[in-house]
Amino acid sequence: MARTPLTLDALRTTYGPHLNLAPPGGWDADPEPDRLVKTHCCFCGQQCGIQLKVKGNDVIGFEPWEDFPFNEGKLCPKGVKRYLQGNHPDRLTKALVRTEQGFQESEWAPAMDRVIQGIQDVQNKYGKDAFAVLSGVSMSNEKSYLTGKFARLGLGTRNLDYNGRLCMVSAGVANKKTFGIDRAGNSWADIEGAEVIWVQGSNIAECSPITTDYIWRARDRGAKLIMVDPRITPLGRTADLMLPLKPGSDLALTNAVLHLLNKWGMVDHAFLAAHTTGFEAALEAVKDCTPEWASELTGLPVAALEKAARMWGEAKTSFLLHARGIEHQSKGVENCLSAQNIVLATGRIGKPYCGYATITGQGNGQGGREQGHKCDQLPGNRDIENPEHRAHVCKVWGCKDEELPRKGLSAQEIMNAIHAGEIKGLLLLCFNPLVSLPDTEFTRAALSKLEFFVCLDFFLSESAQHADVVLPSALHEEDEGTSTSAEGRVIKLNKAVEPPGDARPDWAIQLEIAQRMGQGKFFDHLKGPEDIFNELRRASSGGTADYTGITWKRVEDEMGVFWPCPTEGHPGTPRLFEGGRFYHADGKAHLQPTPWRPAMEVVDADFPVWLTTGRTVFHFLSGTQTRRIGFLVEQCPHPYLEIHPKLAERFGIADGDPVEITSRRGAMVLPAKVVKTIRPDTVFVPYHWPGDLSVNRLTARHLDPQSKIPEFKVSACRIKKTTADQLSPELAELQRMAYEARTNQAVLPERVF
Amino acid sequence: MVSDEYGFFIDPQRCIGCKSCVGACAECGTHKGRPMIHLDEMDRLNSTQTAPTVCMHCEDPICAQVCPADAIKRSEDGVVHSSQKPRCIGCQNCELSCPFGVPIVFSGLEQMLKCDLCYDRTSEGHKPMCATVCPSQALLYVPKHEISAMRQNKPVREFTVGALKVKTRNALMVPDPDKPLHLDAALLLAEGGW
Amino acid sequence: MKPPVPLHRLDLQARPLIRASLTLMGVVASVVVGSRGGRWLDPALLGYLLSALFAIFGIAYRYWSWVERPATAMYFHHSVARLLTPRGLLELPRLALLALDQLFLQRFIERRSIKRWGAHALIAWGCLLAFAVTFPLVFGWVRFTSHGLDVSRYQAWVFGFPAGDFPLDSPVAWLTFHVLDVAAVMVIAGCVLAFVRRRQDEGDMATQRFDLDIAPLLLLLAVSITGLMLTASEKFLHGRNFGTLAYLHELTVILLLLSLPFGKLFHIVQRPAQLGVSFYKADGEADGRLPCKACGDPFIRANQRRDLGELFSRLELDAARHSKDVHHLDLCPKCKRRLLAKAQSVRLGGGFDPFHDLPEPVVPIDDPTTMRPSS
Repeated sequence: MARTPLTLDALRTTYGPHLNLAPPGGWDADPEPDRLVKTHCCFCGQQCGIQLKVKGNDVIGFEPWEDFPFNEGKLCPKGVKRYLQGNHPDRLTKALVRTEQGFQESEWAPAMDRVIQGIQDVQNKYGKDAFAVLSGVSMSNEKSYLTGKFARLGLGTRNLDYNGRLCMVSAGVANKKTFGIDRAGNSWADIEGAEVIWVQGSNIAECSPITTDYIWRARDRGAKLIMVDPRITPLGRTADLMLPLKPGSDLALTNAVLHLLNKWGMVDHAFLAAHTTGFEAALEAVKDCTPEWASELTGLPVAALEKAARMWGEAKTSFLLHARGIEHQSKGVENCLSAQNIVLATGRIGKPYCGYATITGQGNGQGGREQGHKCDQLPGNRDIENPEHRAHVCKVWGCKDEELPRKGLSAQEIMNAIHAGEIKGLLLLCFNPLVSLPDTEFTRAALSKLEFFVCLDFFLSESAQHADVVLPSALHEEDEGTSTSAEGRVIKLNKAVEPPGDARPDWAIQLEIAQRMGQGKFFDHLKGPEDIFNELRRASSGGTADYTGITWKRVEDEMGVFWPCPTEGHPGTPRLFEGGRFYHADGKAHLQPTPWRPAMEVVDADFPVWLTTGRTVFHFLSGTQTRRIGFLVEQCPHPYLEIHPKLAERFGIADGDPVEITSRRGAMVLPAKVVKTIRPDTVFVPYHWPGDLSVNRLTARHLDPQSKIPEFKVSACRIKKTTADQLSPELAELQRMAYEARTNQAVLPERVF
Repeated sequence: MVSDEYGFFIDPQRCIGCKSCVGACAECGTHKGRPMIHLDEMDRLNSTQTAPTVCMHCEDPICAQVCPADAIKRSEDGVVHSSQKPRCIGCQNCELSCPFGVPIVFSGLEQMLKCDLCYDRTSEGHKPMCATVCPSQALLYVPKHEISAMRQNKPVREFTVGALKVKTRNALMVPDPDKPLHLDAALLLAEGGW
Repeated sequence: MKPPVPLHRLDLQARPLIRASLTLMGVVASVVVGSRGGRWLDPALLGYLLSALFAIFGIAYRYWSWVERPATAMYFHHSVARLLTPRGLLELPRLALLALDQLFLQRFIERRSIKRWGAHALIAWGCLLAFAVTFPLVFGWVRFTSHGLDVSRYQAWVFGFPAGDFPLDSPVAWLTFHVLDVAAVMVIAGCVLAFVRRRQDEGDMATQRFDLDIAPLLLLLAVSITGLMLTASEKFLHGRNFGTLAYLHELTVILLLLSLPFGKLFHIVQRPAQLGVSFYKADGEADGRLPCKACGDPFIRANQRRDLGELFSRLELDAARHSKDVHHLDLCPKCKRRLLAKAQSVRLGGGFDPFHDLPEPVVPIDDPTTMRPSS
């Protein structure tokens, strides 16, 4: 049923993406705000502090918030221009209901009736679990928590998961296994004094730009930087040691480093004996991982591997950071475990300037993964299959154990089940799977099979275009709550303006649906986000992610509080593991063996080129917001194929030529960007665009068996030069929009140079 | 007046090409949607290096000397301002003569606009927009006495173009600040690029 | 610091002085002729006359010194020479069109900001309208008498010659005698708009100076308000306080006139230079642009490259030369910016090369199909 009701062109005309170029009233409007609202950026896990300039009910600009300790006023271009997502012509302000003619605007009540009817029809006919909920971690802690409770008690479904599954979930699993707690080991302050900084699979300059300054501050104090990435990224260019390895070979590298550390006697045996278990097994798994072996797999010279191991081994303090590069793999968990092993082997954790962290990607990627809107998890980062954990949450929620569903399917598995006809209904919020899940055409086919699909969104995202009902939700600046940054710092998001028209926050919509589903007894006492947060604190109490001592007031007064924080008198915990105390019952870290295995798909004669994907600094994830902001689109209007001149030459490809890229899933055509800053056996495409321009047409649904994260970062493809008429018309349209952004802004009336 | 205690320190090596500075420059009250800062790719084929350029605020600005309209003025605090609106006739002498390639003549406006150190902000004790937001702090605006503790490299405020000496208010960060930074076009022509 | 001007260059100062004196003498001659030897000068306007003559001398002196500046001379001589060629004469219609766009409609200000354009247009046209009426009257170029013995008609005289007559109660008469009131209303509205706009412009608030930016607006307001009060006194208050108001008005006008050569309003006589620049650019464009000697992209118009080269010599900047063939002017702005960053990275030891101390190349694979090194 749920095909798009209109042609793409018709959808674009009405719902965009259009570009917002200037503040309300234009650049000549009076810039004097009525007030400044201190809040945070809605993009990325660093959650930079920012002040929004508000006039009437409009956000008219921003003012750096230099007192906020994490970023001290610094912002990336998305943060600078984030205010332009408000007052946007594409903004949904009325409910949309699908009819034969397309989407019709609807009053709230009949749209809500249709939602309730749709949910009940599916659940009565196919059972409660046939209706799934997919959410995201760009939502506040309050919304994340409520979504977990709403799906399980409001809708009674076990099939709830979130797009954190596409984010750092491999690191989450590894963190729990090794440390017994899922959080960055340190606040970023510990980066500044580290002697060696190891960054693996993270394009820090573009994906977490503010961290760049932390690294440079360390380097000004003499730190050495090791960067591991198939591409020479802007920060990698300046690294003391750049290791451009083959996609999917990270585990070989870290295994070899552990092998060498042991061989050279650079292991802290005293620390390992006192504070860890499992080192012998971990060592056993890498006993054959010689640098010569790893050189073959990684494509790096032996000397480079040895140099890396020596730099890491000789340091007295260090910080290891990783991100999606190693997590988006079918062995993402092992990659993280192996990285943790080289940290633990040197004993450099839980001390000043000794740290380890995954750089969370999404806005509330850290907090969102603790509050229980994950298929296997309850608030406080509790386990949904653990009887004690269930009992605690049942008590807080006032429900019986049998009322609380058990573990459900993960995000990609839910999509697979929809495709297989096992799940018939979907409520989607804060997630645009049609852009962000692998194998786009599969996802499109799946969404088209849904019997009832309701979506909560502020813009009509590509996925929402398939919905039966779209309820307009509130932007980040139209609601309040907390989120938890990549550092583990709980921070306060403040409301700057009221949502326009019928738009309302996700929590309000969920409370209404739950009440209409007859489950009001679990929800009626929650009047707003602060009530939800206070219930979250009780639900998290005693869990590893313990928020009990954190109040909204404390968060604002102290400019953030680091969890765990079990009592109101507790100062919070910026640095975990001090004194070598870990969060397993035995107080120790549990090293895990990480034997090598290859990626699920490797290059062969038919598909001889590695394909890897990633972000650019100008866009955020599926681009629903950033593809609507003029400045950002002007800088980066469309995807491109990054390719090394050696590889390009082989196929007769020059800079700008259209190239057809084909994988086992599908094909697409993009213009080539010929650069020497990528391995000659690898091509790269950024992933923020939909449809013909979505690189996820090419990526595979291969999952890590433990974390269920898809292997976005490693695929095999073939390339060939093609003709310009093969380029998608979407590409030309985006180029036109970018040009319009440039000229309309009166910025560039024929600059001579 | 902009405080003499603060210095603007530029370290292009740190630039990550994110264009936050460009976006933020346009947001500054003096600039109103028109960025005055430049962010250039050095040579994308070979490198990801990018370089931000703000006005260096010369002591004896060449742009002012070559201005036929006498429209470019340096205030007592050493800030070289955008062309005075009533005077500027958009001739581009400044744009073509600036040793650092800073001024921009917007031809429809018949007016040269350039980095003015965000005068509305710096004259009230704030930092310029670009240096406030710069994620890598390639653009740094701090009290001058703090710089030696913050950075390994040191500020140089003297440049030579051929035999011409140019002294500036803003500084570039180099390891050996005693020698002026020599801008030799041969560096651009040398084979092997960057 | 520039060295003091050496004595032998003092003639550069004398030339504007002579030129300004000649300009003044020309105006005085036209006053004498126009007023028939002063016969028709209105004694009530004597104060105005003297201060206007002072203003004209001041403006002329400043204008001619401005034109002496090497950079200005470069354009001035080009423009004058250009205008006096047969081609220049043929292009007079184009010049007129340009003048319409740039001087009359001031479209370039509209593109800078529509609010600024609105305020500026009101002030500019108010002022020019007022000048167009008052200067000829004060100089005795234009005067009105009753038409012979017919007191119901007015006779206009231009340079002592009769130039038409019109009835006292006609719209033309009303307009003729209320032009200054209309101008005053325009200027007042423009000044108010300008103040409002300034308050909303953080940049202007930071850079504006009382003497340069605020005082001219206040003076214009004072002139316009006292002028309107004169009309009000005459029409509605039966001439009450007319004398005092007349003195006050004269005082403000004289202050304004005396300030003309020194302040912001001097740009009125500078602005036409923009037309010269437009022609200069068009000529250069026709000849094509020279390529940047670093990146090869065409960027500088040949005439401007040549004239800037001479200008650099005159300004003693010619040392900005990289080699015999490459002047700093031969690099495009983008390459100059890249050069700065490049020079810094060279100072840092060749910049960053992530592979610099690896003993063998990190990218050993030459054959992506077989994934093997080439040999």
